[in-house]
Amino acid sequence: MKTIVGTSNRIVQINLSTGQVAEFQVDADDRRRFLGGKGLGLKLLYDRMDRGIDPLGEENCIAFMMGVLMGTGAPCTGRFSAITKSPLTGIMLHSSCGGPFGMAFKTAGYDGLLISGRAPSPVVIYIDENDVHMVNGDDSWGLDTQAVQKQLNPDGKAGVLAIGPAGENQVLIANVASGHRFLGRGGLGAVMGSKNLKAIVARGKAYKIVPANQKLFNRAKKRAAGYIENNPVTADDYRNYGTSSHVNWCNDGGILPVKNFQEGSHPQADQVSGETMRQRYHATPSTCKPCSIMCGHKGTLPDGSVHQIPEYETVGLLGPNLGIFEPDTITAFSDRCGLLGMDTISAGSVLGWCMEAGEKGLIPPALKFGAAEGIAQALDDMAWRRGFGDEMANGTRLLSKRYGGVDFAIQIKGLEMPAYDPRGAWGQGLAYAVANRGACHLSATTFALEVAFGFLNPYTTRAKARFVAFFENLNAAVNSLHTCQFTSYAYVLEPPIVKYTPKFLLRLIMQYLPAVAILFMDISIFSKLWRSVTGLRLNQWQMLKAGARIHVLERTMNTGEGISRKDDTLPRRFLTEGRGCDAKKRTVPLQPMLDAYYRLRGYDPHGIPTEKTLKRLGIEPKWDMVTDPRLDYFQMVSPGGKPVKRLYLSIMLWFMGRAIQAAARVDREVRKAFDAIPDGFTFALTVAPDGPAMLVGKDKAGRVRYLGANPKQRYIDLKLTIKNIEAAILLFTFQEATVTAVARDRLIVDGELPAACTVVRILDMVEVFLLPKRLASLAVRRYPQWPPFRKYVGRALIYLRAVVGL
Amino acid sequence: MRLPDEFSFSCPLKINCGTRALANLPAELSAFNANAPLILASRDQVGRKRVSTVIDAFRTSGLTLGIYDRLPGQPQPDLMPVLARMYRDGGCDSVIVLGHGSVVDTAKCLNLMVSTGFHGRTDDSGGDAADPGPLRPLMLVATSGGNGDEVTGYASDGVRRLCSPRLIPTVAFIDPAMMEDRNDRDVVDGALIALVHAVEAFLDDTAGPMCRAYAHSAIGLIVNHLPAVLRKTDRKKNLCAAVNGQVAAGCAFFSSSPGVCHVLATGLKQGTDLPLGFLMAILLPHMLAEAGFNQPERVGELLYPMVGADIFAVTAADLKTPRTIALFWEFFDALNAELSLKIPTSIGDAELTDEQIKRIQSRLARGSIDDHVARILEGARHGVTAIDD
Repeated sequence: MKTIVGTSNRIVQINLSTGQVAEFQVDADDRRRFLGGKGLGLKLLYDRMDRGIDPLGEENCIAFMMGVLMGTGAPCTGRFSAITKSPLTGIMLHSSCGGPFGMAFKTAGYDGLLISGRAPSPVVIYIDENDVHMVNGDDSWGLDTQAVQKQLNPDGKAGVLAIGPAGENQVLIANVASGHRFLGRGGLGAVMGSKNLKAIVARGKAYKIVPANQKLFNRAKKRAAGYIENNPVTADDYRNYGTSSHVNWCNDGGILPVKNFQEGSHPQADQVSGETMRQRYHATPSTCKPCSIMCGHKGTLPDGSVHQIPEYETVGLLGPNLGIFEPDTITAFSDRCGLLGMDTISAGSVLGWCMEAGEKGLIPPALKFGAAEGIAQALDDMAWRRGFGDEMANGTRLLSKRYGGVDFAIQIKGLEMPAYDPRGAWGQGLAYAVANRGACHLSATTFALEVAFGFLNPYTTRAKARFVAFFENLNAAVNSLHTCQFTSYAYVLEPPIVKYTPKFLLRLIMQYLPAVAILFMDISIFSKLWRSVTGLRLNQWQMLKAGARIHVLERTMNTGEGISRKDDTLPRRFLTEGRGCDAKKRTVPLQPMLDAYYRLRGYDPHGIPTEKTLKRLGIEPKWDMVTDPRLDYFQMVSPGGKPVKRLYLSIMLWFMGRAIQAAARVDREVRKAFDAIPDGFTFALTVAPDGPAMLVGKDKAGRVRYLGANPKQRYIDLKLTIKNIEAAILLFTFQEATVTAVARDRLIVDGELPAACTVVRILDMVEVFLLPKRLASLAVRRYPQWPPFRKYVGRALIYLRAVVGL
Repeated sequence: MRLPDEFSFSCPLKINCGTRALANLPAELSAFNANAPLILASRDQVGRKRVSTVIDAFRTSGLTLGIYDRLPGQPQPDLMPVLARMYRDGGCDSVIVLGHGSVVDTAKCLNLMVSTGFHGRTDDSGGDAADPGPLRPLMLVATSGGNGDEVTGYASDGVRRLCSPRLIPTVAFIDPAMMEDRNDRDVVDGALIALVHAVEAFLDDTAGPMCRAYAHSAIGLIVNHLPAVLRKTDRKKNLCAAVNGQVAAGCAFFSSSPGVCHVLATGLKQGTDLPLGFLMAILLPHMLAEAGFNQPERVGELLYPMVGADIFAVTAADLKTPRTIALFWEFFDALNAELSLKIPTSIGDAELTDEQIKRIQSRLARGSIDDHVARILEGARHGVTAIDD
């Protein structure tokens, strides 16, 4: 067996239109600057493709790029990347896969494969150490992804990349299979289908890959393996339960997609968790090679058949997202998608949209939440583009544009969203919005920091932009090395500086001093592995800069296609609608995070990388990136709050509420005024938009009670809303009487007017009790002449009762 | 009061005035289901502090605002697509504009552009303009220095003059915090333009009683508060009153036809550096004198907003017109006492030559009104009103 030291640096280029096969090398500078895998693939396409080309046209190229670490035996490095322009989003697409094709291709002696053009009829490409050639693929056309792999690789010794019927029919959510793993997202299968390329077969094992610096490699590998073995996520959760171990903590954190992201959790979620499925299916590992995490599993169904156990995204989108909590059913849908060659995330999202659109009367209600009937047929129809399936095959963006329902089309830039609800992890909201390929959970996995590990408060914008940018850089580098992204959990959390820092301190530093936290993070294991294999010098900061270069290059290519701030957004549902499981109905405050992120990234306010940024990263602008200089002055701001005034009003309203309750017990006139209000009546005095509030009501026995400060928790008969906090301050600093405020249109009265008059009268009486005459004269319309006994004794009793809470 | 046989009146503008009026901005936006405003301003015109004041009004609102405070002094057609991009990229759904003049024109044009689907569907005022339909909310934060045009349905994008009631802002906020210490000359210029527009709307036979009501308020507010503004007594309060007058004058002006003073002064402006408002002020008494010959009762009614009900009631009917004209002269004198650049008493003082005046006159010659225009110009040339003769 021949030996390759480091990488072969051989890229095969095939033009399907002409049948021409060529081979070229990448210069050392680009290899260092773009690392390999994703980074190098993007650079190759940037140099070769024009903007504005049709993703399904012959000008579009696909780059299959092997990881630099692949074949060396480093942990979890059996992965490869595919880069192309997505037909689903119209922008750049990177997808990663751990199937057998990568290792076979790499050990055949190549680092990458670049495919352009379009074959006149279906073809299959065969690659081995000596030859690259195409054969007629008519016999394979029409076969599903597993059948075609069996047909083309009967002895099981080769690695096959193949599309199913969905790819052949150019379904925009079609994927590409390699073994039981997939290049899943963005419609890569449709691009292969458009090129009449049914499959690529690589026969490897001709070369042995050895690192350039074996000693350093051995040391780094040992350390990496140790980290993976010691980390509870990689060594326990994923190894035992797969990624479906996410189900329970996502459910607890309220970020599980339920019924097209309407809810955030469900009491039946445990039925589809990794823990339950492991027990139910007697799961055994079935993973990428080599892998020491082993998150992939297969299991035996009650009928004795063996299936791949669906991973978390598939479970989330084809299960709870459709209101389905039957593991067998979800597994069947997952298998169906796999055979047809369709992305399970996008398919689940399309089905969820159809169910909700059916409920809302936008389309015929053929599919219903919670009902499995019709789903298998719908998946087949999508893959074969039959009937309404032809529309579904184009993804939720086009569906919702045609039929309405854009607000609940859960996609960004055309790509359907994975199974983490950003309303329960605001940093993930930002990560989704700015991810280069659309709604992508792998661009920056901040949901793990926010919900799984609890290092960051999920409901604050603080520190989120910095961590999103950091993880984007890291993941871009990781996908270029190329190792499994799950190693990041071990490689980031296991080094001593993180592992032995008390968690509360770590939390504090990450939340309030994110730059410091990142500065002290030790991720040198990645750069050491790369350095030992290639023999080129690279430290962790240079690696992160290369990651930034790769990320910004992809962004630059996307901005050439018209992507800008307008596209860096979330589906409207996440910006305006709270989750069913969240009493506070929180939504994602995206814009301020976006501003902070753009500043960190060196983009202009419209999300376009500035000339300075491109220069700093050594990216040569291929097309005119100059934007109007007037745009530089555009800014987005979130003015923040008025905490002192808010606190003052909260205290005043709290005390006023208790004083009203006390006054109703102490003073006959107040009690008489309350008699005019029916029992069970509740009124609220609130400050718009969501300021402090005071609720007072009469219970069924006619007793007046202060009911707290949350008007959302009960039905309110009369709501007096002060339009803004300044008006409230005028009222509660006694600069303006309540009646004057009403006359000056500072209050919105929602309820019956006679009741409102009574309430204002009660408020006036209570103010007379509470305040000295000088202040009360300012606060009430006319200061009453009360007997001193009533006023002073009443005042003492009301104060006493209000403080004690009687 | 005579009711015209036919008239139309439209004023969809809501006015929100007083201390902390700006604090109502989020609530007003929310009433239109808008929660992502784009704030437009000219930092040169209003200053950074006032932009901050408007931003502060959104504290506790939880909203995110788009801000562009570098609008130029004159409308720039090539700026519109850039602004539309800001609006789109910021995910905005409404516009808030601070200031007056071309800044507001730009905001109106932008609102039309973004509300009609970014096609820039704008129509010339003269043609069969299609109704653009309801536009997105446009909030005006008024500042001193405006002339009332801000609340009309007129706007210019730098190339064309647009006219549609849809362009009228949704709400105007008049807050003392926004009444900056501006150049007196600009304040007086804007106020005089508004005053003359209000007077002409008041005298317009076809305008209808609602328009007259607005004009009545405008005249009273401007005449009674503008001198106090210049004397710096309780300046912010008086500026608020004057700006209210300007807003009311704008509403009246848009519901009536442009009058003789407006047309003549616009023509004369081409030959002099004197502010337009000052030119209008020169012509105003002469126009009133001319109108007094034909409609003495109508001109006399102008006395009411200027002096109040009591004095109006005790003034003899035949003295009301001369008294009104005299009061305008007194008003101008009061302003001149505080101004470094005085309002001239005649067009001659405005350094306009006879030839220029004749050219304007010939351009405006339109049959029977030709004589009226000639008499007004003749009077204004010498600075003596016919009523004094």
